[in-house]
Amino acid sequence: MKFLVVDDSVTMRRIIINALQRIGYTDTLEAADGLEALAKFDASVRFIITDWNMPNMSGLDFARAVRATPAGQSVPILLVTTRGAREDIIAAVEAGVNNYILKPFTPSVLKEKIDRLMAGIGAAA
Amino acid sequence: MRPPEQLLYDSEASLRLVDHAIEELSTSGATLDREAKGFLEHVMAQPGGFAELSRTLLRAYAETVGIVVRLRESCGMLDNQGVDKLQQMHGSLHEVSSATETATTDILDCLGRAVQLVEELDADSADEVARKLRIAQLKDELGGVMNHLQFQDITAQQLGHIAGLLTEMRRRITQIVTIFSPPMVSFAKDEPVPTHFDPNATAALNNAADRQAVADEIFGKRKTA
Repeated sequence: MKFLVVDDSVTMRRIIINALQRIGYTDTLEAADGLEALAKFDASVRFIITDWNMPNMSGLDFARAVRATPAGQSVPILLVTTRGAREDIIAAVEAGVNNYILKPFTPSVLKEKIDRLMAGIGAAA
Repeated sequence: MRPPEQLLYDSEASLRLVDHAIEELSTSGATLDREAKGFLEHVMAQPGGFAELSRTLLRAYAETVGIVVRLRESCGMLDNQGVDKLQQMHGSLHEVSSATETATTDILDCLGRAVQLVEELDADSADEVARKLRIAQLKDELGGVMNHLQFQDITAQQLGHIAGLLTEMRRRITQIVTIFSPPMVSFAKDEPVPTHFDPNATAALNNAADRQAVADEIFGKRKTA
């Protein structure tokens, strides 16, 4: 199960990938912004974890771009961001994001969100 | 070159004089206009009147040039001292962000190796219940330290926001200086103002659960809608 982790902070990518490894997901791709992530995205990616505020292409624009591709219609997108205003969260929903984690987060919250989205995929299948 | 304080004081005094002169002109301008023709005729009729008028005009010109020179010096000083400092601050902030990133990555490497060691210890002593418990706690603690390093991302966003503000300030000062004295100082090309940062990024954990609850509520409604 391949994860695509998108964040302009190297540290955040490391923290997220480390947390993923600890809960059993070792197949990961990294990208530093939405543009790079879009270039790396293909049908083999089964889960996307992305930041919002990034140079070149934001997480929200990336989510919209992914949803516009045939391979990206149903891939779960989890947004990990510092932006906690209600209007921001609604904008994320409208962009096609499936769930939302506020930084700083704990690995247990990350696991819970991933498990919930995975269960959604299972139920839809 | 005169000290900046004296330049500013002189410029302020000059501006007060200019302001006073403009005010006088605006109130007596109409009268002057009506009387100018008669005044000129009167001056030119006097012996040496033309020479006196020329001297008066030259003196006025010299005073005006002095005012403009002081204003130009002030603009140059603003550019050299103010804008250069802003550029330095921008560079320093960038350095802080890079240094924090590097340090954090190194700490992550160390912690990763430490966790690996604990896991090896754990494998070697499967029958010691109490020891295993302590090792589990230690793993949790190390994991917590890793998680706390998220501060780097939040700090970087805050610094990025400050850098954006400084770039904007520099741009505005450059615009002001350019109005007064285009050929006197050279300017760097306009730098783009960074915008990919959250000015409200916070590392505070005291209301983290409440903030997450708002997001969960909105996404929960979306699923049930």
